[in-house]
Amino acid sequence: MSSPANLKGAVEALVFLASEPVNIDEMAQALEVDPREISQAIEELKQEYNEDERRGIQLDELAGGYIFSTRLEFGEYIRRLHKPKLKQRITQASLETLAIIAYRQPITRAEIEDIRGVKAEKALFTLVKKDLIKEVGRLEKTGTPILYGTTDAFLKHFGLSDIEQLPDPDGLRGEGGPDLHKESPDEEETREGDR
Amino acid sequence: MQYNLRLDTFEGPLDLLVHLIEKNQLDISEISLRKVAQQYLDYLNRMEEMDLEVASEFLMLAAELVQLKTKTLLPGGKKKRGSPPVETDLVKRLFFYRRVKKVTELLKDLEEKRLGVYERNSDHLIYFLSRYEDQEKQRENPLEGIHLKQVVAAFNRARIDARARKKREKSREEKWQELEGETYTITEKMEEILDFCQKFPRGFPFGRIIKNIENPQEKVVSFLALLELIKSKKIKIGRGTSVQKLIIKGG
Repeated sequence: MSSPANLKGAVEALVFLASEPVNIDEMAQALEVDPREISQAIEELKQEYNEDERRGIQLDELAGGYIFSTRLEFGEYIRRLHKPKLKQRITQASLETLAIIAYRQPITRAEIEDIRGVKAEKALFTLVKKDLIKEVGRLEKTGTPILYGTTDAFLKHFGLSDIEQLPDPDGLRGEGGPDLHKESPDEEETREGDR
Repeated sequence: MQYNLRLDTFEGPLDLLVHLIEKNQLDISEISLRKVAQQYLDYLNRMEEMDLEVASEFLMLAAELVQLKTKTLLPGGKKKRGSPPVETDLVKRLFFYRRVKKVTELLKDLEEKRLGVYERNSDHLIYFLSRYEDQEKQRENPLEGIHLKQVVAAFNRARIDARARKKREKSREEKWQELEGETYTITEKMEEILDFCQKFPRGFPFGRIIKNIENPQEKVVSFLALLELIKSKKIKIGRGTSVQKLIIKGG
């Protein structure tokens, strides 16, 4: 086995057939070339596809990998012929919970409920079932509550390559926040119990 | 009806409060909260009038608002304690909640843009497979809404179930094999007992009939045969030398 003479074509072929985003390292391994060469080929392909308005497909960076997808303007025709079923809007309640998790992860249910002011159990259940969030760990605290974080499916649903890409004009991500959890009823109960 | 539609759009008490503050063109502050407290309570009343169940979260926040209002009515109460934590907490929470609402809208925009963009995936493949395999049912997708993973999982489950069932059957066979033998009939046993009676005209102990029987089923059938014979008065039961011993005699 050797590396292909037409590397860009090879990369195009690999991405074309993929039903899940393929990442640069996977392609570098299959083509036996340096990952940097793959990146270069990807950049060229991106230019060819994404900057040409006449194209029907685009090269997307999604969840850390690359995948071809159809352009937004043709969505209606795709729906007519292919009747794809999977893409569903997330309900408002779930979306709010998902936003909190996306911007404040890892986060516990109690913290989410403090922020929203309502119960989040049902929304969390739905989001886990839809694979948009997952358990990413446990908080070392009484009851070791589950910490939630977003998944690759989340990135794909919103067309993001990674979580850093989330638009954050308000600086909600990474910021300390209002220290809400300190005042949560949960914590107060534990404190009283300790006394 | 109008209210109903609007009620549905609130995600919770904080959402309602933010809405009221914005509707009154106020900034988020303690003063604003005091101003909209009455509107908040009115809103809950309207919910109740419409027979909507007012969630406990809404009531809890109502209590907070009432507390906030009463505090300002008490002369000097606020100055002495400085800034009570409950008030600042609520204001903080509202500020934070409003920011969350903003990014929720951003996510919604992202989602909207992505909904019309399609990637290749197995769902399309399944759709086309079924289309070509069965031209008759071209418009129907027999696997609609079913993911490949589910099919594989179902197959694996069936396989595991089959294996477990086989194992169960095997162990059951091993356990019960010796019990599945001949079947015994009451008529047969009745004849056997009558034979005994002829052999021992002076009677024989009851134990003799079942002495050599190991199979519990056979024992039971023998006993039933005995009862049947007594009932039809073909044999007699008498007491033997000791009280416990029963003697059987032909009738």
